[in-house]
Amino acid sequence: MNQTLTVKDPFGTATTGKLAMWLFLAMDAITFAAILMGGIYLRLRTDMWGDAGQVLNIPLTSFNTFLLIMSSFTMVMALDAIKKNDIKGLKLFLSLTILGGVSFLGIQIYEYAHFIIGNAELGQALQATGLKGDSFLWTSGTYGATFYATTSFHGLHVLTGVIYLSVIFYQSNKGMYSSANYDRIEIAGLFWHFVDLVWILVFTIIYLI
Amino acid sequence: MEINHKSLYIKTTIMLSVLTLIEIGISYWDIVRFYQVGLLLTFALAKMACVAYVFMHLYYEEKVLRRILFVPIPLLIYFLLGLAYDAQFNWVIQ
Repeated sequence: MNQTLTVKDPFGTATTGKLAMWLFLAMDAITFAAILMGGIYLRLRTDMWGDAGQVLNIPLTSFNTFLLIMSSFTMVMALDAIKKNDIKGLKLFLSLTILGGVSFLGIQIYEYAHFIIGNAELGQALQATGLKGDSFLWTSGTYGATFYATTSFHGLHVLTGVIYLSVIFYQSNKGMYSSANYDRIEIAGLFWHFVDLVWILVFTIIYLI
Repeated sequence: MEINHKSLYIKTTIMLSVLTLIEIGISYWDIVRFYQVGLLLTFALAKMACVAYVFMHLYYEEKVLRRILFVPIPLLIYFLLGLAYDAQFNWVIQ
């Protein structure tokens, strides 16, 4: 006599790849939390810290924030396109997402260059926070160390995301994906959205608070 | 039947942008520091929840997966409070 045993998968329709990415992201979130909490701890122990907009360029970074939000939108649209078997739409939205990531990195490099080269105006802003010199470097007290450690770690994630999505774009050009096979795109999307999600917190804690 | 999520994604993008603008406004607003930080962190958490639930499709995942992901948060708050308390003291090694 045959009996059928129905077992409900506790993870629903999530594939093993997707579960693995979620677990990786949970670990990565803890790493980011440790860096941010370390920064908060250092900040509570020193007065040499800039207020919002005093040293850091908020309008420029706000534009970067909008870029990441828009790139998250284009990423989710890329997934939506492949679900409908729209390969052209997938390529278009993937390329827009990559462009958003590259632009974000370009602006971050510009911001770093501005701080490293320095000028008299920046020097005055730094002096107001109790820091010396005309340049804002990773050696500029715990403020500089926290700023560079947090933003560069995030920037590294954006760079990884851009490389990751470029590989997905190359594979989609080779015809690897269809409405029946898009799991890798969804997994890459999770990573990209996580980069956006973490930036929301980094932007608030480092730039606005 | 496949549901069209496009309008939801557009609405979420607009909401995230508006919340970011409000956050920037709050950062320049001259109010009690405690309330300013509280408001900024609340807005940031709301934005993060939007990204996780809508863009990362966490809303459609099983409850157990959501629980696994949210378990570390109380732990992080506990550590943060501990660090904030510790920051008041200067530890001297003798």
